[in-house]
Amino acid sequence: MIYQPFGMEMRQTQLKNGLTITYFPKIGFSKTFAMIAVRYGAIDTIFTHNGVQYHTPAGVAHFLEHKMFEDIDGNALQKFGQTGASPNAFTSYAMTAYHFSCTEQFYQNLELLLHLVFTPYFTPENVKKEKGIIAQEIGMMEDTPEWVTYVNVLTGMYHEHPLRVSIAGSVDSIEQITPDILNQCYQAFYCPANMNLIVCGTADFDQVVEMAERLSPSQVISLAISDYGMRQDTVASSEMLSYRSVSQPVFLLGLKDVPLGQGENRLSREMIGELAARLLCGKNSPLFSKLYREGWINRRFDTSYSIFPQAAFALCGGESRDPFVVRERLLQQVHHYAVNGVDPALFARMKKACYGMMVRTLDQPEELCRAQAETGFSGIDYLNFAQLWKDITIQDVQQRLIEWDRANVVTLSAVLPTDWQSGER
Amino acid sequence: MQSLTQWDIADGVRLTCITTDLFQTSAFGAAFVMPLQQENAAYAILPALLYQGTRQYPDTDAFGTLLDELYGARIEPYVRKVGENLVLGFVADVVDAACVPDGSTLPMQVAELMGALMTDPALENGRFRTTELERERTNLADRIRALRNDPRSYAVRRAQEIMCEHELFGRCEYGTLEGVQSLDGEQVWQAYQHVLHHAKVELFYCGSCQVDSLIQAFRQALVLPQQSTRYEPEIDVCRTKCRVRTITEEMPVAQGKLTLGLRTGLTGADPDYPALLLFNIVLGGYTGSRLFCHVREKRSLCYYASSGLDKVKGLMLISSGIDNNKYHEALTEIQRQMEDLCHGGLTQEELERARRTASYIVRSMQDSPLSLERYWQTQAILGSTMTPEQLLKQIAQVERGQVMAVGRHIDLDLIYFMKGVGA
Repeated sequence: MIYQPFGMEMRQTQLKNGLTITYFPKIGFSKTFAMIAVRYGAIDTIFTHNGVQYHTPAGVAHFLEHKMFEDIDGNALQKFGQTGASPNAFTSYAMTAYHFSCTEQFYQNLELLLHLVFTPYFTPENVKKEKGIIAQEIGMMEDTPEWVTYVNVLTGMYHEHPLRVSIAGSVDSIEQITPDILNQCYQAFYCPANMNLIVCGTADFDQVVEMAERLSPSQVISLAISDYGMRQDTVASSEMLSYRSVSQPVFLLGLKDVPLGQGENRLSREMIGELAARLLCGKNSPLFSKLYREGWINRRFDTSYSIFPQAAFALCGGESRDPFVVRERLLQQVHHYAVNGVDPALFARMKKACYGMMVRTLDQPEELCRAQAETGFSGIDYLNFAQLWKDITIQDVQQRLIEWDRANVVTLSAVLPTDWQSGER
Repeated sequence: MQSLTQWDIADGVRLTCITTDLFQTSAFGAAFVMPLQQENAAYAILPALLYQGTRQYPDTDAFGTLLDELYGARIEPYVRKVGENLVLGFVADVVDAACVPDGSTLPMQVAELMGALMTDPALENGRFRTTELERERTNLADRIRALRNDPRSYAVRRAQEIMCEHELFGRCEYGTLEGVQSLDGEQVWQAYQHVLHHAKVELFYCGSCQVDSLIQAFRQALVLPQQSTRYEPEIDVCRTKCRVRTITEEMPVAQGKLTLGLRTGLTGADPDYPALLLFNIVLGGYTGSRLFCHVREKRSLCYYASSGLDKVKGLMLISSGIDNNKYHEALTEIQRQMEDLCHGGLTQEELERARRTASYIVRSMQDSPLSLERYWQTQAILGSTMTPEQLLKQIAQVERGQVMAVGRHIDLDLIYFMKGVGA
């Protein structure tokens, strides 16, 4: 299928075992990128599988991601290295993905990728060793103020939803992880029907499909169902403050949105949410200009919009000499737009800009495949964005701002300089 | 297909063009290249200050509206230190002309904007506007203070500072806090005049547009003083044979950072550079490297351990994040791996893997317009016109003995430990 207006092609098929395979040809590119995404992330800690309910420690999905690289005959990272490929993986709240990119021997690397995802190998020794590595990773994250504000803003916004717990878990929670737990989670979520294989670059689609068919388990396995807790409209706490030796406050303001409704198009909501956030305080917005001119924020300030199972929110933040002032000004602006509507000229130019940004992601195989994995799990093809984008109206955007204007839906998370603790500013 | 052309569009003004229809994105670069100074504050403030508006688009509202109308074109001001050079400029990306219905003039519009940002700022009584100067002075001071906030990159920065304390390279590209605080309008204006008269100008474009119209757009928008002498970048690879220094500093963070600073004596323009590139990859440049396999995987001594090259200053930096009490163990292991590689331990198979990785790194750079911008800017400063393809050919010919020889000529200069003393 060819997607206009940018003339990009996408091919797709689903195997009998449920694995979805998507291919984006990029003629003329030097490298080819491949990703296997599993719909299993940090938030899937409580789930029911084959009638049994499991409560697993925080951080299993991320731990599993590390461990999948290990096999009886060594570490897959090194095997990829032999062909000069660059392998990696990430765990997000809702997804685990394994990927590589290479400029030669693509099929050999694809075989490694398929093999690693479908061959668990956990021993008490290799699990114990990994705890040391992950504890270091957690230590490093906790030293990064941006990460701390991100974890805390989610903790503040959610009461029960597991988004409130950090992706990697804590040193204590990963201590409880055993090979048995890893196996239970692997069996519950790592089945082909819960995965997407996405390739971008120069490969032969039929050969990719043939290999995936040969190297993925043929039986259809029952899927686990996750429990994300009772949903509440309001935030759990409106302020999450911590103190560290930072030169000036680092902050994120979380605007809690209503989750995706039944039948609502995920990609449309994502674009509308992004657009609403840019309009509110993106770099070319009137409010950004004002706050910048008055010296409250700098160019590191940024906005984003995210959707997870039973959750959605906008974030804006960066560095500020006083995040409390920025919060007040942002909320005034949200209220203003919610009540008075958005200037149509502003909407029109920002909509055009959003489109330009999305077209440019088509040049970034990793971004493109990640976006396709996310939307693909909701049954939508990412390249549909051009079509969906046309239909976005000013009312759609205003609706988001109305949601953000509800009572008690905002959390300010900030890492403040230690001397603020004693009340000095 | 990518074709490279370089044009001297005026004295000391060069445009590097990569013409290709491969991408949906076009990338632009426009920069003043200056020698790095003891105190860089008066120069470092310029990109952000110039970004506040041109004569035609005097404020960020007008400017932002225009960027949105150009399909969300992004133009970002930056300050970079490249070897002993200070690079002040803007990098931009925009939807490629061929991707949108009314796109044919997009590249020229962006080129004009970049030219105007560099040479036609909004002024007040013939000087930079006071309120803006004041604000950007505060932002620059905040930027310098914020360098400490990210311990990982700060550890590397500190190591370079200590290592090169008697060289210009050891100076901060943003200037010092004291320097920023004492800046006045006249100083900044004089610095700007100096840049306009004497800096070399490097322009870059990667996209599908024809070069002629682009040259014209840049020529028209860049209004530079005539008959001025422009700087030619200088390279100073210092090979001081000094005793290894060991320095420990404390930081209020949890994880310790162990950083080793080494002098390679080689730049990207050196015939031995491909061998050095391979040595670096074998040692710590990918997930099959010695540091990754031995220090991280086999011995769990750290979360990350890698090595990187500065191909203009001729430095190698090894950086790792470790538990504070693993300092000695990690250091011993890192040094053992280095020693082993230099003295016969490098296997042919290891070298071939590194070669494939090098080939991957160089070739995949050609898939990204913004990576190409960085590559060609560095090449320009090095005075090298070696293309990625030529580099690939040289990498293919390097022999094992050359890699080990290059390794033996790398001198350890500094062991820097940023000890975590609790967050």
